[in-house]
Amino acid sequence: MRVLVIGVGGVGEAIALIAERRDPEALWLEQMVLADYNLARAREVQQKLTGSERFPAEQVDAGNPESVRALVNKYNPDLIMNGCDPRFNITLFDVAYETGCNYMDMAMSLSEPHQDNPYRECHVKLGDYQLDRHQQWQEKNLLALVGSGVEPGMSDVFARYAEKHFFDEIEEIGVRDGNNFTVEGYDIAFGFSIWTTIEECLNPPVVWEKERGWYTTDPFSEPEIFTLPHGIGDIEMVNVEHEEVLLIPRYIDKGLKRVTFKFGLGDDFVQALKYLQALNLDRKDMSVEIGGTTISPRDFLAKVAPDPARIGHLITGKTCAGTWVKGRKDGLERQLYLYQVADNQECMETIGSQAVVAQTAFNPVIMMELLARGTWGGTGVCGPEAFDPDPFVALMRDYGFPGGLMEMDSEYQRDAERTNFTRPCP
Amino acid sequence: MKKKVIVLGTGAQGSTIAMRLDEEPSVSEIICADYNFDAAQRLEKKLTKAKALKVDGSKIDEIIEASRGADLIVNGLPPDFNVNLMEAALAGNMHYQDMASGPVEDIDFVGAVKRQLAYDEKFKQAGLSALINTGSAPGLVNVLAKNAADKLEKLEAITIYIYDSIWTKKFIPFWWSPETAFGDMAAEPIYYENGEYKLAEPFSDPEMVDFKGLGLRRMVNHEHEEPVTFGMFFEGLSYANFKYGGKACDLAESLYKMGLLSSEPVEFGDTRVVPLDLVCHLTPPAPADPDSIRDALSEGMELEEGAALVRVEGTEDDRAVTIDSYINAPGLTESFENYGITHESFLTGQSAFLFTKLFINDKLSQTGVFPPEVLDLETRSYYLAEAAKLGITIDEIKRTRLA
Repeated sequence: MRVLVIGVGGVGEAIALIAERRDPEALWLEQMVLADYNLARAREVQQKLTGSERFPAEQVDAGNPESVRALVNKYNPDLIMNGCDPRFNITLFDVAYETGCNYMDMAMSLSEPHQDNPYRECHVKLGDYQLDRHQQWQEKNLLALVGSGVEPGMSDVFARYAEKHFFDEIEEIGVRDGNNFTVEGYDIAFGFSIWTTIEECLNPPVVWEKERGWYTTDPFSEPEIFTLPHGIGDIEMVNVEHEEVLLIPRYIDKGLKRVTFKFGLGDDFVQALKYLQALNLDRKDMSVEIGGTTISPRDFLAKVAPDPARIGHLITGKTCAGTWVKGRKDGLERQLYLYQVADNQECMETIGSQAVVAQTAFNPVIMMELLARGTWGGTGVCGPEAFDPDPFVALMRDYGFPGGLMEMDSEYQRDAERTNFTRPCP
Repeated sequence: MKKKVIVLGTGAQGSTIAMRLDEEPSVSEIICADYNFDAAQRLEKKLTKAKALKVDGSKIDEIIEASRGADLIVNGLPPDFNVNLMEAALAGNMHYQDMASGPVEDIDFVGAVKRQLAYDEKFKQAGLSALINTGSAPGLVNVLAKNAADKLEKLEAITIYIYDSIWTKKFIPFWWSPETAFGDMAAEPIYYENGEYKLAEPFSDPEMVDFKGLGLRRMVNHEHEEPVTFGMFFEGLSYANFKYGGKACDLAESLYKMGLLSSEPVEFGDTRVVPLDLVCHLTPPAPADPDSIRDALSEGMELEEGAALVRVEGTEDDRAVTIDSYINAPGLTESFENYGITHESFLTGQSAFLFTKLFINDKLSQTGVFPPEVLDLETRSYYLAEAAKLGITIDEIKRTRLA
């Protein structure tokens, strides 16, 4: 497979490092072009890899279709891997379609809030632009695998995995994410793309219910305490706009009634985001004249705030991403949390990337490998739920990111505990 | 004999002082001087003894000319002009009063205080008084610190805590200039410890302080004059600090930690942008007149709480003792309903005016340059008695600490 990675920030870099480590002999990854708006950055990443022919560094303007087309013409990739902020999704998605490339991204096309009732009703939803073009991509025999990171991505695979193996009926699925990070010298730090974090956290969160369909709520709504494994412990989580809520109901049924995404932001971070919002520093659609030039406040904030790609060495702690599923199995109510925990210092030592970045990056590499080897295949615009989850789950340990399954308090768990009690190990 | 006073700078504090002076029988004339002549004239029209003049505070000759025949210069200008006005006071044989020593461009707070104190001998020789740092904090709190310190056998520490969470539903983060507020908060705080002045990180050393009637609130280090003058004028003191807290402080802390209060230009596209400039550009201005205050209050209050505490620690009869002095003063809603001004203007303006009153009523016998903690007991007692008449009262709580 020949891959053109557009955007080699923290995650783009980790994708390349993980891919090379996984496939040093180029058995399935023939070439991976490292393209970035900042050529020096692309070259910086290239220096960490072996072979400039296998990993060429290129300059690209992801917002300019001509610039992307020129690289497609030069390298003839099988797949465009979008490593940019989601504001570039539509350009890259469309160029891939026009030029006959398959496409992957880690976040879907952006939403647009309802003008009159933004915190109750949806208008343009996450991924609408892309999912609406499913048939055209099928007709052209191309695949766009959207939302292929950790969340969305692994979390969607987990939802499908839970449906396939662990439940007869499903009532609710909720993606739950949190960490116990401390960042030396920073009380407030963004774990991943600042631009995207603001987009996710301050947009009206979307919820899906079988009876109501998709609807929005207030930012930071429905707080709940969720206990994360591996010692991370109790984390308060709130609703956040995320792709899984749009993808999971399209693929999973078994009676599914509700899908949510909740993230443990922490009180200080939530308050900081509220202040940014009050000052319009979150605005992407606003132009401010300052110092003789016009700038977008959010773009400037993303430039000024501590760069998530460069503070990895200051972070200690673990992050947990996963999918909570509530339903019934063998006639008993059951709740599971399928998760992946990444320790920051381990990620820094093994991959050289901070945990959130590494935990995001390994997923698209697994998916590329499954596609390159023909284990996964298909056409159209698809979420990760569209594929068999088993081969993905089987590769997680090999990639150094093993998953886990936490049986939560339920009739099913209590019944199993009683049964285990009467069957001592020999 | 009746006094003639020149109030230079007719902003929030200067105009409050001038309006109070207008009611004083011992004042014959008030010169309201400002570079903004319209502002000076607007004030003149509200008063009976006032005369408006246009004066450039950077030109000593203009100040001397405008203040001819005055007994006192009240400095309502930013601290950058302090030295000019002190020079003019000496030249015109006038007493001098200001409300702050800093911040001053390119000089730290210790330097800003010292450059004023350097005039001490000249004022003494002229038989004049220059009373510096005379608002509420610094100002009133210095008087309270001295009163409490005098009750102890051995003085150890003084900490000023100012907690301000006035938060209207309409987003108005600051009740004074956002540029000044952000600049002050992002500056490195100075504290005094064992004979040395030390710099701390902005927003450092967070402490949960249990304010009477309010409960625990988070307070952080903040740059202010008090630790500087306390270190110079309280004998035996081993520690002095100033801590600030509240919603506006929390907001500034969040922005600071995201790098948004930096004054260093950042390369952005083809240009360079100063983060603080963008933040100031996006921050709504502080309401400055009754109409804009009314508008700010129109949607109601989300939170209205505050506390001003002077904590003095030491020993008495070999026991460790803490004396807490709380300042009681109206909040925003009450200040606006009763006086048509903000709580900031009320407390700072009234506190400053009460110091002016020491001059015009001949209550000040000391000469030289000095902050309010140097005032003698009789003068401090008069000051606090007058403050009580304006509704500014003090609760003093003395506690014995367990060793």
